[in-house]
Amino acid sequence: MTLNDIEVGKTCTVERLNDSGEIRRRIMDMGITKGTQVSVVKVAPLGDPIGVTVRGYHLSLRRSDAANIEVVPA
Amino acid sequence: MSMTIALVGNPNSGKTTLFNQLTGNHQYVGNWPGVTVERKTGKLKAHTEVEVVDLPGIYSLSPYSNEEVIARDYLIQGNPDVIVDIVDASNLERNLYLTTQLMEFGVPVVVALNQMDVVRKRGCEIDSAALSEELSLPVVEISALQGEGIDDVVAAAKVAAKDGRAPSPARFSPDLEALIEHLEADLPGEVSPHLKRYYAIKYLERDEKVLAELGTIGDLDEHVRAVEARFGDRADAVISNERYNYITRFIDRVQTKSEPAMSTTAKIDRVLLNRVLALPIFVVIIAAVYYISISTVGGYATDWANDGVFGEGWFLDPVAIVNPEAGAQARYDAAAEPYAEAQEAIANYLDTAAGEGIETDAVAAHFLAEPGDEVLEAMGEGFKPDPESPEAQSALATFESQAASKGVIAEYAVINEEDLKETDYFVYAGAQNEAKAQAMADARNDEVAAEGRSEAVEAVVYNFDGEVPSEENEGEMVPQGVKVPDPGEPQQYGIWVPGIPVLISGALTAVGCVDWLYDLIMNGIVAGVGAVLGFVPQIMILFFLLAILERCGYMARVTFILDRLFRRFGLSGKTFIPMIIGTGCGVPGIMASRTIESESSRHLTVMTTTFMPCSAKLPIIALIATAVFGGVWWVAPLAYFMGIASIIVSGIILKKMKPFRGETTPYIMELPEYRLPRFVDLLRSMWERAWAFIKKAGTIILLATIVVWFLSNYGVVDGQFMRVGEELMDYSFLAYFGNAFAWMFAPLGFANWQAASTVVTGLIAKENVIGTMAIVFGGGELPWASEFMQSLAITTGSLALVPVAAFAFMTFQLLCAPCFAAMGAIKREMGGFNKWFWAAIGWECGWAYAIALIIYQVGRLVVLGTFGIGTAVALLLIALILFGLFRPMPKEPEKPAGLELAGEAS
Repeated sequence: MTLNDIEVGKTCTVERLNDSGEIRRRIMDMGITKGTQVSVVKVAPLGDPIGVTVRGYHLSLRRSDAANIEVVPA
Repeated sequence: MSMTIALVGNPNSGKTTLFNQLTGNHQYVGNWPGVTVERKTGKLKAHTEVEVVDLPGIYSLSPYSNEEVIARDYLIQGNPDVIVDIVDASNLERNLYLTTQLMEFGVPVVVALNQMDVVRKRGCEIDSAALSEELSLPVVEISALQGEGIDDVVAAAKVAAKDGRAPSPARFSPDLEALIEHLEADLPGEVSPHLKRYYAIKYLERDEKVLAELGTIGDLDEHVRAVEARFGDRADAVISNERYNYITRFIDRVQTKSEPAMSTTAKIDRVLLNRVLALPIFVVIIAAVYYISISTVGGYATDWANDGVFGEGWFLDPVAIVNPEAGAQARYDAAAEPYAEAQEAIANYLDTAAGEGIETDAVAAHFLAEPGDEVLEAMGEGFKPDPESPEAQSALATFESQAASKGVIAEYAVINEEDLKETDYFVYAGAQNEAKAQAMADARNDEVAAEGRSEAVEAVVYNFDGEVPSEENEGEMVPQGVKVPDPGEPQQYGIWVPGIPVLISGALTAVGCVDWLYDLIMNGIVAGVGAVLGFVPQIMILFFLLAILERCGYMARVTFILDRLFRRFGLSGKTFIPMIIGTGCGVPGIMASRTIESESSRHLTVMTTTFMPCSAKLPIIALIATAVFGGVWWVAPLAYFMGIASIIVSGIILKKMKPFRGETTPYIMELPEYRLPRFVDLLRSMWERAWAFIKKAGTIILLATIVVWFLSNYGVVDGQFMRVGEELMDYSFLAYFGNAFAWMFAPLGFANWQAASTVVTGLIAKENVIGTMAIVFGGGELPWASEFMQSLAITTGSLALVPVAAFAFMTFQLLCAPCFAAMGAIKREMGGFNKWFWAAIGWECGWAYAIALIIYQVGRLVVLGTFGIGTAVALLLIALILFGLFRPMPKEPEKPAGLELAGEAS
């Protein structure tokens, strides 16, 4: 299951990040690392990107990038 | 003691605000990540020996974005004495991630804990003493916005710098520490001891910049493999994880969180980012900003500035703000307009009658003459004009009976300067001639109707000496001539403040200024600079509203709303920020493109940002909207819409071309908390940008107007250098110069030297377009805006095409290459005068020409129904644009072409 599959309002825990390179590094710099709790809080009007809460702040990222973040629902 | 403080922190953590507090500077502040894109240096207030360097906001010191590279290069090479790390307390965990990296440079670090007030408002608490203990770093609580704790930061920074002790870096798990230690021993000899840990970690991350700088070390792979084998993940991921683990180990001891009640930001976002409402709200907000600043409040302010302060004058009249119809201006206009109309009728009737051999001097002297007119001298010494006197009345009676018996009908046309509507007058005297005049007017009306121009032309009958309309017969009566009373001076209607041109003109006349200098000052400088300054109120309102948008936190949300849309065009939602900033000024707009990660998207954004109308182009829009289209509401929104559409369509077309193909733009963006902007900050932001505009008017535009005035007033006639003045302006140097390429604009409908020369002066500064027009079209009988429209009537050959040509003119001016300052910014962002730069300028000019041509030619086809070569070219261009839009993305697997091209160019 990936972050992309999590419904709005649900929380999950990050298992691993699949992508490589710059985007993955960015996602990690922003605090989405193994074991982190991530809540999906909103979806943009056009369905993408999504807004999540991580480490107490709001972050938005695209669904295609969220699909590279493997999670387990909390 | 001289020392250097480096300010480092996450984007949007309040660094620039702190920098401004420290140095007394007023750098640009906004509430979205990435406002500061360059390094800025200032001197500490009251301690000028202390230098403060404001680095761009960064989340990390990875080598991927420009900002991060700028920051870390400075930290390694700039030798700051102390790093002040601004930590946003409301977002402690992620902010400390950067802190763990800053601790590795061997430079003393002071943590400035900002936005504690936000934390407390949320019902949370942060124990800064405990934090200081955990990090082994001095921690100072500050509020950059309120200016609290600033002295404490300076004091702590001084102590830390004097002490010079390197911080002890964040400790990772013992396994990783052992591996790092092992790698440190293998580092090249030239790495200074205090940077060993930094480089060891960068090697493990396979940091491209470090590998390029120091070269690979022998058994690097072995080290990396050891880490990856031990932790089962890529080494850079391991290190990121370890950094956050370090923070989470102590974060709960430092920070107490309350139950997560729904925050204000979340509540606002529930509405503003609502899936259904977000887009409509966005459209309404943006439309409101420009509608308020251009059409309503701003329009009112600009009318006042242009027609009042830089025109004849204005009434100081608070009543008019509440109820314009009861104001002094309205009362004065009600008296002055019929009088002016009547004077026009009298003058024309007397002229016509004089042509028939009727004596008119006495009537003219009593009813028409201004002091100094020849006709008064002809009446002899001691003559006093008085329409009520028996002499005047008898002269009038004699004249009227003669004119009536000869059946004199005066015929003339007046064109309204605001809507270009033409009124044809037929003036008669004596009741027996009324039917004749009426018949002539009817015939004219029929003729106009047959031409299909009944909207634009109206023929009316005017009685030279009828009864003054009273309230009972108003509407039935034809307009009056000699019986309309003189409105007197404006001072009689309220507190009248004369306009600046009137005052200057009065002063120049009083000191007996020589002719050419008077003309230079009045028709060159005052007309040109005044035309530009008149738009200051409007621009201030726009800047004020933009400052609200920038500071409250909505701008980042806009990227969230629009990312999906922009991604379709190969751009990111972040493209919208340069676009919005670009409506203020293109230079910061182009610079704001630096936050866009992908190179090809960044180039695309730089190329297209200036399609958005900047504040200097606003006067052009305002002129066309008010003078040509009679102030209809849709011209200004349409201008902005054309800017947006040009960016999107260019984006789609260019993205399919080889140099712009390449990776999709990433989009990972922090959505900051909403903040209520402080009123003083909004005012300051507004004033600073408006002041820059005013300063430009006083310097570069002043100079340009003088040059334009000279070029348009002097020329060579019959081989002789001379002052050509208004009558012979077509022989001026400017005309000669403009004519050289005016032909290029023939397909666009404005092929005259005046319009062509504004295109060139606009390159110096876009404000010059209006300033130059005021000079080259000024001095005629009509206000210069009307003279401009008349010139278009000539170039297009049809009055009906004037609005079309004017719109094409505006479109070309808005979309073509920006001013030199913005071109300089494009050059910097593209990395020099390379093919990227020329591609940008070429695309902008070509696009502007194509769109203006399409507008004019299609408009011509619709209005006149004639088809010509121009129409064919327009249709061809439309087809080309549609092809570019809809052709499928060409497939070819290759590495991002952008890098390759950039390499060639350098």
